Amino acid sequence: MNPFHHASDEVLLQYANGSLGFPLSLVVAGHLDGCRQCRETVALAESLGGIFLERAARDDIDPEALDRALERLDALTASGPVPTPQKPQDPGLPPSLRGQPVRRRRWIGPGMWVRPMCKDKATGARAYLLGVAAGRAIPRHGHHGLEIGLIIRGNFVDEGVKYVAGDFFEIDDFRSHRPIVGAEEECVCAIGSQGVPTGWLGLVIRLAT
Amino acid sequence: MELGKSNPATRRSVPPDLAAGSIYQIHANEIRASAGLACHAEAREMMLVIAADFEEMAAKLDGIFRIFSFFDSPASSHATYRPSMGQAKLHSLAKGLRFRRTTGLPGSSTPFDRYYPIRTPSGSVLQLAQTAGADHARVIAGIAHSRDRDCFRLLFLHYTPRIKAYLRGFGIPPVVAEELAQETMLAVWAKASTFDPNLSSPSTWIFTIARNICIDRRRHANRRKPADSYFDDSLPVVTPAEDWCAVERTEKLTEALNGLSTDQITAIRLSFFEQKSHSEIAAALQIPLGTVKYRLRQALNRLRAALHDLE
Repeated sequence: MNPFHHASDEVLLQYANGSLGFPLSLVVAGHLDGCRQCRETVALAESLGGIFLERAARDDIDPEALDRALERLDALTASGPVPTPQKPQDPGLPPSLRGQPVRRRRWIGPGMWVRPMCKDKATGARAYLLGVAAGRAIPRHGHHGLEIGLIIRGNFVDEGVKYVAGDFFEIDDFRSHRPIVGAEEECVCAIGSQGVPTGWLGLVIRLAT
Repeated sequence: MELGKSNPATRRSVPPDLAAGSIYQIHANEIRASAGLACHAEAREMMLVIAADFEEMAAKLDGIFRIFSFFDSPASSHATYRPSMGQAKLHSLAKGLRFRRTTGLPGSSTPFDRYYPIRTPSGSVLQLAQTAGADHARVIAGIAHSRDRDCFRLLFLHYTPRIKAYLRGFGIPPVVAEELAQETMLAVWAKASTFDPNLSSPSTWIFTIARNICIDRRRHANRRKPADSYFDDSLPVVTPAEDWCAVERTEKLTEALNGLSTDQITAIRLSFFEQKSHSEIAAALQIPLGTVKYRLRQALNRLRAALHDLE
């Protein structure tokens, strides 16, 4: 089944050209696993990338660059293909997120926990899993920079709009909201954010991730 | 990429009175580079002769245009470079210098024989000179199956300068851009066996590798990655469905891209290729933010529509 709420073209293009950064890209990749429509857009953008690469002007390169590369090939060939290390597998996550090491659960408030996935030290962007108990509301908060999220299980209602597993949401600067988790089950989301939320929620998330 | 059509970007950015000469110079360089890859001494020699011919042509044209522009003659604008000129010239040269396949020639098992049917009686110098872009999928297969260094050379000479230019467009300093371009090509060598020509075109595949290397570099800003980490892929190349045919899609997309208006292409280029945000584009072009968003959406929808025709 295709999700109802999708990533915006802007985010998908940023994903495809690499400017989104790793933590946020990870969350987008999780959504792409289950969304053909967004995969189409990203594949379109990647094809464009190839076409424009082919059309790109050519810079001068160091005349010895090829020789240096050929020398390094010897080292690569000598070491042979290195098997990818066995990564932790969590069957509850979308395939793209499964390979990612997820740290242990940390409680950040009543009925709320985070599991940090990765953090980009240079930009401060981070990705983490957020779990909120059934029927609970996340306190009203705003955002510094872009925040994106993918619902992994459960559902929540935000400003009257319902989001279910597979859906993707984006919240930009300074828009504040108060998502309320459905009464049936705990809601788990993968969150990628350029900054942390405002207020005390941001503080605890910053400490926990 | 066909030689005659090479580098629309260069063609546009060079003033018309210099274009012809410099385009010939570019052809000369390209043929010279290909000559370095030729396995046969005879082939190499012929290509160097052609390259020299092109260089001479470039010098002559430059001279002519300098005289024209001195008199400010309108002739200079008439005599600007046309893509067909290079192609025609190449063809006539190729006709004159056709290879004859002789049984005594050594090296029938050279990489070029294996991946390019260039020494058949109908094969021409043109094909040899056109190694760039013609069939990179098979070149990558050559790397995957027999770790072929000549194939690597060919890809390296074709893509490294482009990747470098491309990365510099993102505002990456030239030295770093060159280093990343080189890393990309090493990753191509290491991962060649994972390339599937049905899923993506060679240039798209190489683009995504370059992209992932950039992302990794940003993640580990101060840490140098060991060579073996090339096998650790951070983001996959995205293919939307099983019925995806890379070659057909690339053709459709190129066609649709050529049909977009200048405004739309500018919006796409700034947003996607120079990684500018919508508000930065609005500021750069001095148009309202809403217009930027509208143009981008329009452009994307036209490209999408072109792909939908396939289904």
